[in-house]
Amino acid sequence: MEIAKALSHSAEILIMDEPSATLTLQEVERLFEIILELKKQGLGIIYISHRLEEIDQIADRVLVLRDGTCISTNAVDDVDRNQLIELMVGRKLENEFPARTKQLGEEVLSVSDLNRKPKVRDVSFSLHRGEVLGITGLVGAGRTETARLIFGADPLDSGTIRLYGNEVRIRSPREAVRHGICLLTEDRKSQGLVLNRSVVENFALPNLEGFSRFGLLSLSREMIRYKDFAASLNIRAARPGLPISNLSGGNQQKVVLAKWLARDTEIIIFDEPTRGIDIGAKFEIYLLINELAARGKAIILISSELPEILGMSDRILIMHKGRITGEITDMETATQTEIMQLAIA
Amino acid sequence: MSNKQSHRFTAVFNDYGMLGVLLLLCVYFSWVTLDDQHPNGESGGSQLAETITDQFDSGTTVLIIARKTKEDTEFTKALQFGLEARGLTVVEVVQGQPRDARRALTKVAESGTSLDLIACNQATLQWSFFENIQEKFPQFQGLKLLAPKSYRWPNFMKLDNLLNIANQIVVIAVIAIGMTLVIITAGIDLSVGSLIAFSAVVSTLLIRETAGAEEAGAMGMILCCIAAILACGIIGGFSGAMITWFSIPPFIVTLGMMLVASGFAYIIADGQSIYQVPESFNRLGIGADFAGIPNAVLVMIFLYLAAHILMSRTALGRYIYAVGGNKEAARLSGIPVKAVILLVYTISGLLAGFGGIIMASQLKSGAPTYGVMYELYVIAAVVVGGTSLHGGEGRVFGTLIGAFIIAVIQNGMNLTNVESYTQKVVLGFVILGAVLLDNLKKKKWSTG
Repeated sequence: MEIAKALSHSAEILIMDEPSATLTLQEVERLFEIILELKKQGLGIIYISHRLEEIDQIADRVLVLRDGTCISTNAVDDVDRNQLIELMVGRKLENEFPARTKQLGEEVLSVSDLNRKPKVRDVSFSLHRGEVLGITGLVGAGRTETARLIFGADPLDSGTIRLYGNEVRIRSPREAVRHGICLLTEDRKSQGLVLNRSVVENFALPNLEGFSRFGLLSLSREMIRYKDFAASLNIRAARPGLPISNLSGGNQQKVVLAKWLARDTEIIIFDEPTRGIDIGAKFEIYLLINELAARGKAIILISSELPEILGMSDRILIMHKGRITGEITDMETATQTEIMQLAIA
Repeated sequence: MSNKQSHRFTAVFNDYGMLGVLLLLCVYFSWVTLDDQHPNGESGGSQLAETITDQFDSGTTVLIIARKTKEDTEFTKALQFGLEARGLTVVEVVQGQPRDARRALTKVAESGTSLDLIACNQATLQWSFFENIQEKFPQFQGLKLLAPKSYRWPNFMKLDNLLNIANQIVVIAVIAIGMTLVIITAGIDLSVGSLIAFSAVVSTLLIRETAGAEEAGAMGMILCCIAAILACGIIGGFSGAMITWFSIPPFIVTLGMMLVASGFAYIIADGQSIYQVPESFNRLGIGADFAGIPNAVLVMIFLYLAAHILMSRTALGRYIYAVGGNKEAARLSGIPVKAVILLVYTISGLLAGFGGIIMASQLKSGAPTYGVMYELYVIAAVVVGGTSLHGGEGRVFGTLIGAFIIAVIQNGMNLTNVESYTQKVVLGFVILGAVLLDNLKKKKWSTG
C-alpha cells in the first residue's frame, strides 16, 4: 500500500525503512518481487534493514552505519555475513552468540498443569538457578500467555506455581515482583514503557521504594542509580530527563532491562528481547543474559528466532497450540529442523 | 541557537508559558484600568496631615469635612490625630451632607474664630457647595480647600481587587487540584460541582441539627465540616470503584454521580437554603488572620504545595503519571493501578467537599443550588494550565496558573464593564485558544 502511494508520485528514488518489520514471510517475498520489478524499471532503491539475510537476498551494494557515521560501502558479493556483523558492531566477532558455561543450581520455579483456555493448556515445567530455559514455537503458540500467567498479568483457570518448592498464588504483577519474578514484555511500546514520561522515571518505576525515605523520593539517589545502569548497559540517552520516546528501539529496550535489573529479581522472563533492535545491541543483550545466568539467576527466554534459541538456551521447550509439544535437552545435537517439526506437530 | 540552548528554552516555555500568558493578562488589565486613585481612609488621612503640616505653620486652624461612611471616619480620625500632634488646631470635624458643612461653617464664622483651611477627601471636595467658597464666606481671609493628592494606579492592581480575585478563585482552585490528578490518570470527574452543593448542605445542616445552630462552637463546626468532606470522599471513592471494578468510563460514572449528589443535596436540604450557622462560620472563607491574606487563600496555597510534593517527590505521584501515560505498562511494572485510580477519585471527592465548605463559609449558608457549572470551570482551569486530557502529563502549579488566568479574565472584564453574556463567549474562546496553543506547541516540538 505504502509502496503504491510512493510510486504514484512517479518517484525515481525509493527509500524503504525496515519495510519487512511488520510483514509475514510470504508478504516479504512478494515485496522482494516488487523491488526487483522496480529495479528493472530503473528506480534507485535505498533499503534500510537490520535483517542481514534480507540484505544478501535483495541488495547490490551495502552501506554500514554505526553511531551516525558511515563505516563502509561494499558490493554485497564482496562481504560475507560475519564481516558485515563485525562492521556493524565494530569489533571482531568469534560467534554470533557468546559462549557460556552451564552451571545448574537448585530448582527455583516449577509450574504444573497451568491452564488458561484456549491459549494455554496443561503446561508444566521447572526452572533452575543459573539456567536459561528457551521457549519457542510459532506465533500464537501460547508462549507469551504462559509467561503472563506466571507473572500474574492474566488470571489462571487452574494449575499451581511453586517457588522454591512452596506453592504461591500470584494474582497481579505486583505480587509477582514481590515474589522475585519479572517479565520483559515482547511489545515494549505498549507494555514495557510509559512513552511520554522521562527515561529516569521509566527506569525507576518498579524501584521507587528503594529511592524513598520517609515517603519522599530522593531524586539524586534515583539519578545515581540510573547512571550506574546506563553506564553498564551502555544506554545512550543524552538527556535522561526527557521523554523516553526520543530514544532508539535498542536503547528503549535497555531501559526496560535496566529497570528490572535494578529490581534484582531471581527469576527473569525475556519475551522476544531482541525483536526490532540492531545487531550490536542484540549482542550486548546476549552477553547480559549469560552474565545473569552466571550470577545464578533463573532465566526464561522466549523467542521465535531459532538461531537465537539454539545459541542461547541450556534447554528448549517447544509449544504448539497452547501445549508443550517437545523438550530438547541435548543442545549439542539440536537443529532448527528438529525444533520446527515439534513446533508444527 | 544551539541545540542545548533551544532545549533549555523549550523547557522554560513548557514550564512557564502559561505563567507568561497570565502576566501579560495582568499587564493588559492594569493598562486598561489605569485610573486616578484618590486616597481615603487611614492612609489618605495621614497623607493629607503630612502635606498640610509641611505647608502651614502650627497654629493654623483647620475644619475637616467628610461623609458619614466607615472609610471617611477612619480618614478624619487619622487626619485629626496627625494635625493635632503637630500643633495645628482642628476647629471641628464634620461628617455628613453639604448642609452640615454649611451649618458648621456658619457657626465658626459667627463665633469669630479664624479659619485658614478646609480639609476634605475627594468625595467631599467635589460638592458644589464648595464652589466659590471664598465668596460665600468672605470673612475667612485666604481660605483654602485641600484634599489628599490623587495619583495614577490601575484599579486592577489595587490590593482589594487582587484579594478579591484570590477569593473568587479559591473554591475552583482547590477542587482543581483533585481534578488535575484525575485528568493525569486520563480520567474526568464531572461530579465535583454537585459535591460542592452536597458538602455545603451537609455541613450546614449538621451544624443546625447537631452542633447547636447559631450557638455552635468551633469544635462542633469543624467536626460537622469534616463529616461533610468525608461524605464527599466516600462518593468520590464510589465513583473510583465503579470505574476500576466494573470498567465503566469515568465520564459516565461521574455524570451519574453528579446527578445523584445534586439530588441528594436537594432532598437533604428540602430544597431550601440553610442559614442557621454562627457568625464565626465565615472565618474560613472571609477571615484573614495572617498578614491580611484570607484564610481560605492560605489553605489553598498550602494544599498546592502539598500536591506539588505529592506529584513530584513521592512514589504515588509517579504511579499517577504512569497510570495515565500507559495503564498496561504501569500494571506490568508492578503498580497497583486499581488502587491508584480509586485513590485519585477519592482525593477529588474530598477536595470538592472542602471546596463546598469554603463556599458555604464565604456565603455563611448552605444551599443545594451551589456549584452549578463549577465542574466545567474546574476542568477549564486544569486544561488551560497545560494538563493533557490524554493523561500522563500535567502539573499542579500549571493548574493554579490556569485558575488564575480564568479569574483574571473574568475580573478584568468586570472592571472594564464587559457584559456577563459577552464574558461567557470570551471565556469559551480563551479555553479553546489555550488548548490549541498547547497542541500546536507540542506538534511543532515533536516534529522539529
